[in-house]
Amino acid sequence: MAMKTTLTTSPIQHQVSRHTSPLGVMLLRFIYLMYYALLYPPYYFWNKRDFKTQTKKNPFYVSKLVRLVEKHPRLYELSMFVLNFPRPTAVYHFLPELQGRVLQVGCGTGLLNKHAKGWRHVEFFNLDINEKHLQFGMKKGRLHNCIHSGIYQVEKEDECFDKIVFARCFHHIRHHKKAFKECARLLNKGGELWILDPVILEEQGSGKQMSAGYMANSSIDGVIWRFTKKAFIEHVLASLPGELELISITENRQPHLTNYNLKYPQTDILAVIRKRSEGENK
Amino acid sequence: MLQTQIITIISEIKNEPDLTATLTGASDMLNDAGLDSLQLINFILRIEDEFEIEIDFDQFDMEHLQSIDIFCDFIQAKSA
Repeated sequence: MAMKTTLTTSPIQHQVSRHTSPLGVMLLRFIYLMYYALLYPPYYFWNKRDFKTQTKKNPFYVSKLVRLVEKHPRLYELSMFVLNFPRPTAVYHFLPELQGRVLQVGCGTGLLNKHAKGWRHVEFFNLDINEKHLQFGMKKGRLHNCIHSGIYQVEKEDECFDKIVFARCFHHIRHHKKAFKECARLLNKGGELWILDPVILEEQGSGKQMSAGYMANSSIDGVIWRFTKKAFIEHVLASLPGELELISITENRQPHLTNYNLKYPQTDILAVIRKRSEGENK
Repeated sequence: MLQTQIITIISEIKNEPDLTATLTGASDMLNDAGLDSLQLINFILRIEDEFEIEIDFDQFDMEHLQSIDIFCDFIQAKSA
């Protein structure tokens, strides 16, 4: 059941929902153990061992798995199925329906577009730096247009989008201040920026005591940001330009494998950021 | 001065204020400053933000970390 709380000391609305089916959670944990037993040995000998050796010499070394997934969209989709079991689109379920002209940052192969195929009032503009993933998405009929670019400098006019969505890609973007600045330019006044991303559950004894977000080199996902919910909010607030304001945080621990893995339990966050309208002060 | 700025950033990343007194231009950033792999990634991120430069992780030569002075030269070349 979702709880809505408005904090008296903060204008940011918070909402929390935790999945409550113990059987579903048990099943996910069982699947995780099965994956671990079957996939970890080949993963370790082919990817992890090489990664550990190479990162001692070069901390920025990109693992074999990450390089392969970047080059082969089908492998990317398979990895999304494994990581987001039971469905690769399971991670988007609590995202409300989008409407209007929406810039999708880091669209990949179009898994969000696949999830959103029933949404009637949205026009997606799909942006990604990986050309192969874009081409795959176009071939699959999920992406009807694409922008091959990063988010720091987009070749679009000012104030041309109603919404900008970062669906599970925010942790891949290195410089959030630069990204937010460009988003502020691209958004209509009153438009919204939605960030859907995982955060680590510190209170679940993940072993991570994180007072601030940090970047780390993952053998599965490349160099990515890691946050707890508190660190995420602080980081976003510190990175926003004056035209943008954080208005709500919704937490929903959706039932998929990434959230219920036994090493770093996570939860999903949806942050809604709004561009101030004409004449609105900070 | 650039060297002082870099040393300050290192001490903040490591949360060791004493480093501002012990590190010099000749200090090795991995062995003397003791930056581990996690700290190094976040150090580079901080450098990019402070000096408004972009460093390609894939192309970065670890030789630039042999000393703080060498790293300063690297930043100045990037900023030019």
